[in-house]
Amino acid sequence: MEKCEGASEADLLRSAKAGDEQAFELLYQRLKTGIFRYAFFMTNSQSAAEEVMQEVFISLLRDAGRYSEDLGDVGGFAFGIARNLVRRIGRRESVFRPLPARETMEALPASLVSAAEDVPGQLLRDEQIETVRAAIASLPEHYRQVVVLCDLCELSYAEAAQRLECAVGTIRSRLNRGHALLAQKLKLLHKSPAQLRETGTEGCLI
Amino acid sequence: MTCNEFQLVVEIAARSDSPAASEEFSEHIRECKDCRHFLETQQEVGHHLRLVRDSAPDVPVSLDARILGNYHDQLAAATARQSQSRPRMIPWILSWKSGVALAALVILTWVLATRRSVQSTVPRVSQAAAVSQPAVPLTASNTETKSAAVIARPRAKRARTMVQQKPSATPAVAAENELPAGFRGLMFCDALSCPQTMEMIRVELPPGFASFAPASSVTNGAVLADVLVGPDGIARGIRIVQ
Repeated sequence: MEKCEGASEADLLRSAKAGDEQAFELLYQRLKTGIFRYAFFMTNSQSAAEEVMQEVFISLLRDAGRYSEDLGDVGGFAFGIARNLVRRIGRRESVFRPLPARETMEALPASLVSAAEDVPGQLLRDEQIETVRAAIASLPEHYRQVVVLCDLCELSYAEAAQRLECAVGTIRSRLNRGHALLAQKLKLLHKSPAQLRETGTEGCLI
Repeated sequence: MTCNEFQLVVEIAARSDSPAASEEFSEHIRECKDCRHFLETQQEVGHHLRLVRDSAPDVPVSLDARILGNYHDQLAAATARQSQSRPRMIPWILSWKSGVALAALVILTWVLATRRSVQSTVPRVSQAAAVSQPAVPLTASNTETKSAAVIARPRAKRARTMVQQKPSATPAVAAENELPAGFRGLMFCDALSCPQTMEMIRVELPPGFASFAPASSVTNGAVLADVLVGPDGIARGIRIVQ
């Protein structure tokens, strides 16, 4: 494992493709958190995020021949695959959207068991988190991408701009407008979920 | 401090998780209502986003195991594909080589067969004619041998080759002295090699002979000719029927 520590992601990908398991593990460790968080926040579903993760690493090895270092780093290449998969899942799931409360109810027992704090506080926080996730999920895609990458995956503006293939200025403006829209939606949290979706994109030009 | 500068400071402070506190900053908040509203919005959104960010689940250990398993499966499949593709190459090469060898063999056989048939054509024609046609004395110059021409037609096509190839070897002067008038010698012919009694058969030559024959002798594209055949079955001379 030590010999791979200093290797670039491109070298790791080549070695993994050639059958070096250690290289694959190291590459996976480097990329997994970012891709999983991105897929999770974009799809708002853990099972979908796991599906994306599996597909990304299968495709990464299968299409390793198509990767060129001139096009960017391996993380960006993997992110491109993940983004396409997320879009595909979004199209697939658009015909059937489960009730927002369903996953909360599934996650609730685990959180109750593991949480040491008081139950009402935990419940309130879980509800709040679920509502914010729903608000993020209801954002237009180009705002949602930026909010997820910059705020939730903690990428810098430059990294997000590289991933989304746009200018840093565009990222900044989209983030500001995404925040404004999100704040507008969050004000409706205590009202009704239907109104949340009806919130338009006023003031959002890009 | 302008509003743009204020917003930039707020953004930087939000991303670095450090409070943006300065004299100028505080003064701008007090004076600008829009920036105050902007700051409140950013703080509220930031709080909610942090909540969501911290709630993100870790990558499940079972997923790590599944992805590693997928990797092993992919490697195994790739190895299997490579090992399958190697034996396939050999039959493909074999079949390609054997195909070429077979084609060469067919061509060689055809060439040999053609040469052999050319060499043996004339005796066959003569023999066929001899069987189908009773001996006709040379003196009898009638040309009533139509049936023989029909029987000998397929082989007469082969005889054409002989006629074209052999004339150079034929001493025309000697042949003309011994053959009846109007016949062109097809081989050396003297008193010994051209006996007095020879068979004459009528053959139908293919249309290619039309250029050598007068127009009147061409029937339905074919050319009629009389051929003199010796007792040994070898053709001695030919005459285009007028």
